[in-house]
Amino acid sequence: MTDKELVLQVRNGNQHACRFLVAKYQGLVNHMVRRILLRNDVAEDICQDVFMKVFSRLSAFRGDAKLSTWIATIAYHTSLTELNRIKGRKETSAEMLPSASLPVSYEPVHVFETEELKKILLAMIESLPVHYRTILTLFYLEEFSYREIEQVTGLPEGTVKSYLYRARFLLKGKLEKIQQNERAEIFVG
Amino acid sequence: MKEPKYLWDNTEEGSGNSINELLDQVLKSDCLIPLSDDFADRMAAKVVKRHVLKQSLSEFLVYVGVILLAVLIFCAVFYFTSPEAWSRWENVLQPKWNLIVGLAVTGGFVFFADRVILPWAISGREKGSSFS
Repeated sequence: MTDKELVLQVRNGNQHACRFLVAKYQGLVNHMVRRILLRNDVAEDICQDVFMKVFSRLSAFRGDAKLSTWIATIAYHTSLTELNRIKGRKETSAEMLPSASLPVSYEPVHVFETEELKKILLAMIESLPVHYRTILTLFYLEEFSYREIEQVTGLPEGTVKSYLYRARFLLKGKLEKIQQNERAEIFVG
Repeated sequence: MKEPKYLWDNTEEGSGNSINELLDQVLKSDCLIPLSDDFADRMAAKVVKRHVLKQSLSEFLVYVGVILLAVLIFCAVFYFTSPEAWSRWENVLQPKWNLIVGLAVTGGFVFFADRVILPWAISGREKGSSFS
């Protein structure tokens, strides 16, 4: 079933189509909401809000963009609004500015297990500014193109590319630091 | 002693590529907490309920509007065509005003329950059903 057919079915009031739409895009919405808010306790409620907005605005969907992009846009704006509500405008705007260094410090020793390292990397991703996190999620996890990320976030394509590069650069820097510390630890030990 | 298992190539020459691969691997892996298993079912039921409520409420309002308009037209025609009969009926009905209003409210509530509350209450229960 194509996105257009799915939208038509939902607009005609087919409950099965509604369930199919939610099942198809709940991963995308969940990833975006959790990566932006970093709050597991409210994430499911916000996902519900996102889908309620999707269904109530479905008549406005003209099919110019892909349905996934359109839903991601709603998820992005809903999550940012919620983030602003939670943290307050002042804090959020400060967090949105790209930071040069990561605030979280990690113990480099004994990082041998895959799961452990994944956890550290995920914590690093979560410590990135909100735009970086969003772009990383859309690009890697959802495999959106630069153009699609531009449509979702409203950021110019050049900025998207730059944020993506800088996010990777920050993560890579931190990883290399851990690696160097680990090597030093081995030589000392 | 357990041999440490490195996640990247620990030599100078291989470290850059390994870190890139590791980053790709972690960024592409879905490590977030998934939504509850019945999330899609609950959402679909919620949307169906909302849709049914909206639809049945608008139908109910149309019905009520049509009934009120018919009663109003009947009263106006009756009043202007035979004022004597109108005043006679007015004298008969005036003492029972409370009863008439009570009956109208009860009838309206039964009608509302049948047309709005009942469809809303039973909607979204069956999996895969259509609400159109």
